[in-house]
Amino acid sequence: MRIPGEVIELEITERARGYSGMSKRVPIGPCSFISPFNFPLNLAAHKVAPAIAAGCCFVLKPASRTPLGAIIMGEVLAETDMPLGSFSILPCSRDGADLFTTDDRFKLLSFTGSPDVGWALKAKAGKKPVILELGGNAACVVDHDTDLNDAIERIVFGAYYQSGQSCISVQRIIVHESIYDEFKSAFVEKVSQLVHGDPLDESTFIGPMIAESEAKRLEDWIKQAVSKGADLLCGGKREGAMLEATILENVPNDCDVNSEEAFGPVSVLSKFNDFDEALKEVDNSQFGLQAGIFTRDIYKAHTAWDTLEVGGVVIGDVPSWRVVNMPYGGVKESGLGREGIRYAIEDMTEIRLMVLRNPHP
Amino acid sequence: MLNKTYPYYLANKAVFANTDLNVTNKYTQEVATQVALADASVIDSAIAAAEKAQPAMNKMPAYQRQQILEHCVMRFKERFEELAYAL
Repeated sequence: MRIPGEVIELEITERARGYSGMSKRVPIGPCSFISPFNFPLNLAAHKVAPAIAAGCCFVLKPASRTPLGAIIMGEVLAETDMPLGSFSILPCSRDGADLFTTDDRFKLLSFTGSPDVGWALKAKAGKKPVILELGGNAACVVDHDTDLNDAIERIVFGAYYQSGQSCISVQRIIVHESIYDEFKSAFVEKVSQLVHGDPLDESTFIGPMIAESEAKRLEDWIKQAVSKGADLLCGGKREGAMLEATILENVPNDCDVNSEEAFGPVSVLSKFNDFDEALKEVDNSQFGLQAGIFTRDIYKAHTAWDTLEVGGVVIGDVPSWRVVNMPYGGVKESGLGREGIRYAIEDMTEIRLMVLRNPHP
Repeated sequence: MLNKTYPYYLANKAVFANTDLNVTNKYTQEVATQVALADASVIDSAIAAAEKAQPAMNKMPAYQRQQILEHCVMRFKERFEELAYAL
């Protein structure tokens, strides 16, 4: 991974004759990292690895409900030559954690988690820049020319992987009316067959949600939608923290399960006949993280890329697609800034310029 | 496969300060392990240590930072099963 600088032409006026500039990137300083419960190792690594590459000390607060990945990361880092004091990994309760946000000795705050918490932290962060990787209610458009088997396989995974507890989980599925019925019956069949149970069992696909309170919250959203006229196509039942993989259709726009971040094993089906209207529906959200578009039409792909208010558009796959080196992040309520190795390193470094005068140009 | 208790890491060092944080198995809802929980004064020391260590980090050459990252990759591969279980 390179951390590049540049040579800058400065002779833009007579008095600058003989001057040239060079820039390099230097570590921004100690960073404050707060990582979420849903990918305990991966989303911590998205902050820690770029910090080491960039040369920043850091203090990481892992999620209290799933701290072990980060703790093991600490064990591994303690085996290395990291300068003494350069890293700390500290699970702590939320009320004790203010310093992660407010302390001015930190030169950057990078938070991954829920929108409410993230924006509240930004308001208290003072002078330091803030990176927010928050949630969404990601939409996936399935156009008329889509290979249905392929799309359904991907959408089942995108919507129900980790029981839907991913910030780019497919929540809203918008299908062309010409294939809607065929899509619906095949999708419902596949989702109904997902194996629910203990995640330690290799055959399990749908495990528990992070807490019973979260499963209850989402169960209530499902009930609210049904009471407002939505149709329950499968799932909907809850036992403890286990919520069944659920599909709804005919959900009114103002229902939480449509407009808020579900963060659980629920998806909502709707249909469209005009592609531009489908794109508007994707954008009909307070969030804007990633969108997925199944189409074979390069012009529609470009239109989606040109118009959608999101951090990333995935053509031919679900919005849930991600690898570590791509710029990843959201707009609107979904956050601020981008992660991904190069982009995180840019945030964790700042430009330092050297101006060089040659008296005899 | 999990340890009975886990420390927090303050200024590069494992500290078994307490067992205040119960981590549950989300399926059985049973306590799976206990982890040390940091309070505000510990966080304050961690920030002070980070600030003090930053000049040393600034001077650390790229090849050494690379070695640290490569060590992490190697150890995560070796501990793959343990990590998969712990998550």
